[in-house]
Amino acid sequence: MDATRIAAGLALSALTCFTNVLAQDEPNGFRLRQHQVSTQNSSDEDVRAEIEFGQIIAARVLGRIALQHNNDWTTYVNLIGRTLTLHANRPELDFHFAVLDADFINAYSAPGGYVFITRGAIAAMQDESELAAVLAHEIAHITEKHIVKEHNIRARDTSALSTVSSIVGGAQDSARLAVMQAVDKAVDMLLTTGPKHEDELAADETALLLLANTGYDPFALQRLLSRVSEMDAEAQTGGKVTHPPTRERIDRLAKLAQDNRMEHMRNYQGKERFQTHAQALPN
Amino acid sequence: MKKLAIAVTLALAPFTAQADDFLYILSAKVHLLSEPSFESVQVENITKGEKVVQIDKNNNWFKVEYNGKQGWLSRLSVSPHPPTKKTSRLAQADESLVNDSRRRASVASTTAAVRGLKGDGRERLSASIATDYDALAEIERVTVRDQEVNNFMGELPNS
Amino acid sequence: MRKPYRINSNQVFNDTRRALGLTLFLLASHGAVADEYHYANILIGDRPAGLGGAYVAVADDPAGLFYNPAGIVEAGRANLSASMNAYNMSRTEYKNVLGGKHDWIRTSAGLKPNFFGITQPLGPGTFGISYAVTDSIVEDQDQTFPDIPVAGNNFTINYHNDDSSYNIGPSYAVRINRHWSIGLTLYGFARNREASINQQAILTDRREDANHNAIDKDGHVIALNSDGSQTDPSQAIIYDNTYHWVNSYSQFDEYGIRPVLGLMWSPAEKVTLGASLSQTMLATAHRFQQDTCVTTDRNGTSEACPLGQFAHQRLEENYKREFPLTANGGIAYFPSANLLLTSAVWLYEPQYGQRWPTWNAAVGTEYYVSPEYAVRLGMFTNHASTPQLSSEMTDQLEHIDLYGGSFSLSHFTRTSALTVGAVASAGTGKAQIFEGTTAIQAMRTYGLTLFISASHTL
Repeated sequence: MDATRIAAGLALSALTCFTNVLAQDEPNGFRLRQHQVSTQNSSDEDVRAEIEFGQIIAARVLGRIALQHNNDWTTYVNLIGRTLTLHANRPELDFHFAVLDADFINAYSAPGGYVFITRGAIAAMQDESELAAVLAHEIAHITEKHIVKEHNIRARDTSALSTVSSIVGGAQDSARLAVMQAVDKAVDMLLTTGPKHEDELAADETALLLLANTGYDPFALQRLLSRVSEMDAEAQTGGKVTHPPTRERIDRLAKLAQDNRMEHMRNYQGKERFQTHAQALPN
Repeated sequence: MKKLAIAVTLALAPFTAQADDFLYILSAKVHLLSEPSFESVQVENITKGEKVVQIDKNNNWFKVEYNGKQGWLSRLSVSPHPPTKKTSRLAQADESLVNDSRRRASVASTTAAVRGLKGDGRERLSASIATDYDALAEIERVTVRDQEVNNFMGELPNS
Repeated sequence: MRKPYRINSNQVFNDTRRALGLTLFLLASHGAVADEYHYANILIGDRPAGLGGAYVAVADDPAGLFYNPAGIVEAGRANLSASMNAYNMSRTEYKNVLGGKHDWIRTSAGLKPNFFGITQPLGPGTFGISYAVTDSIVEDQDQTFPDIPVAGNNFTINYHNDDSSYNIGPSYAVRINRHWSIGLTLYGFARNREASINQQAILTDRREDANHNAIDKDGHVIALNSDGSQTDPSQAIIYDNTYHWVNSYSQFDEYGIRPVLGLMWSPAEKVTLGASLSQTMLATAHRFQQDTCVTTDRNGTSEACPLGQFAHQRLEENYKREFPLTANGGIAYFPSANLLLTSAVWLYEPQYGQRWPTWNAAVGTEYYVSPEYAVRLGMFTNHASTPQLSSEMTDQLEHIDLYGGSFSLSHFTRTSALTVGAVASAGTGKAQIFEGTTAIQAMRTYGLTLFISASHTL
């Protein structure tokens, strides 16, 4: 009897530890109280708030970098993007994909479903799966709600009870805003990479899964990152050549592919279809 | 300490018992796989909105039961909450949006809310940056028909 | 240091009746309920208050800044703020203070916002600012006693005492790894006390000569029979009124710091252990006191009042005050999203010549009836930091242990929570009001706090 109890206790304890390891994104998620668990669900208002927020971000991106007006490429990018989002988990969002008129290699995403990729980035690609990989990474930021979570974007509560709460609580808003603004300045000065670095790695992993789920070659992201980091290395004149984060990402992607038993997958790369469109893109 | 934790956990085990966990399919079309691997055999096709019972979780995969069959689904395709219809947005995306969004946006823009491909190369947008809502409207006008997407997807293996 | 305003009446008056009369002065300025002899007078923070103060192992919201700053790493990525407003009432009774009669009753009531806190993720950790009123009392007493045991005496007292202690300061906490986090709050400490006492006594005494023989209006000694009656009925015993008036004003200002170092450990899923260490250290402590008194005798002239040679005394000095090092440790168990069980223990360095450290304990539970409503229940101790009274010693500080319970109800919306609750405590103990005697009085205290608080997330 004792031995069974001990064994049960040890098994439970082991399961507890195992569960601990599995809870990757919320290390102490058990602390969440019922009202916090419930409000983790997004209501329509929350999604609307997310879209509004994303629209402002998107407008600012577009204010800084011009839009590439090319119907063929815009359609192509949107087709790839839509194909990806059909295999993701945010069907309530309308995703919009656009090409930016810039030579440098980069891509951006804003909450609510706005994804941008530069002309320069497309020029560095060799097939459709690489383009899909970049879009998948940006889509992942949106589906994982990185920014929504970080800034707690949600619908404002205008109920009477909330107003009473804010009165009882005193002049909260001004004090809180003052703190937030001060903190933001401090963050700017600190140049932290903290949780945002984690977001990048998380988006990489989700992109890998999304590519595989959709049917694209999951190694496309790794390939592209390797090529891009080599290109960056050549562009550097002495001094710092390595971008440790990129190296870390590539290594991590390789390990993730292994962990998810993707090593032997090849899937669709779409070289021909990509080349057909590539010829149409002006430089 | 560990022993105490075990004893206490065991004592309160009834509190932690959970009812059936349901998951909803959010992706347009999903394959129930025999193993937690994209390369395994497809057991069944499940369409969006369907409900499955969660049996187990393993990293990025859920083991579920559907229509009497058991199999694995990628976590990207499912959610504990049923899919909602497309969220309507404001008819006109212009500068005079709700104050809250604007206030939050000014916060976000100084702390690099924009996620780029190169994690370190975050663009830091200052509050004095110009905005282009016309271009945004142009982007939002672009649509691709479902039939077009289906034709496009036809080349990929998973469809 | 809040000391009873004491006069050693034996030094001044041999007449015990007069001594009795003057001892009323002693009662008037006795230490009040919210005092430095107890450490758990106010429960800070809306959620902790409902849990009896057992928060050191939970501490995952702005209230955690006060109990265990290490916990605020769990406050989430949101920016949170919380505040609490409390209405405190209390009543203390000293039983049968004068000759088997007259309970002395001291009451106080006051409304004070007693906590405000903000948390915000910053860099690798979480930053916070909080403000707490750790002790507060506003008491008034305006009474006239016409029938104190000595015939013809009359006593009036007006007393006002406002004493509050504050903590305000920043906090920062970081996760060390998945299971451990550490945090530090650096509070500035301030304590301000202002008290004014106005006392007037009319004492009626038999006119006597220097040898305490009764004398008549001409100054002749009145002969008395053994039963106390006059041998010569034409000689009238005369009773004179003397008036004693004392006015005292005092102000205490203390400033210092109170760092709180906190540690949080989650050894297993759903279990957390928390510990914190804190101590108030004064940089300055300043006291200002002004006493004025006058006594009129039967001839209508003023004598020097009992305080000594000074009819008016002004005192200004810096003083030292030591606070105990406080250790707080506890365990919390989160079996589900609906239930929380928490416990805590405090240990305080000995003070006031006490051999053993004072300790306190608390337990609490929080239960979500629905995602919108949660109830909390708690129990706690508030032990005296003074030694037990001995019947063979004099001039001892009062010793009363209090025990209490708390309850609160919260309503949650998407971004805010509103909480209402109550904390009640009571206890019995002993006091030694009269200086220079071993007499001990029984005492009772009741306290009730009603609070309303709100928290907000952006």
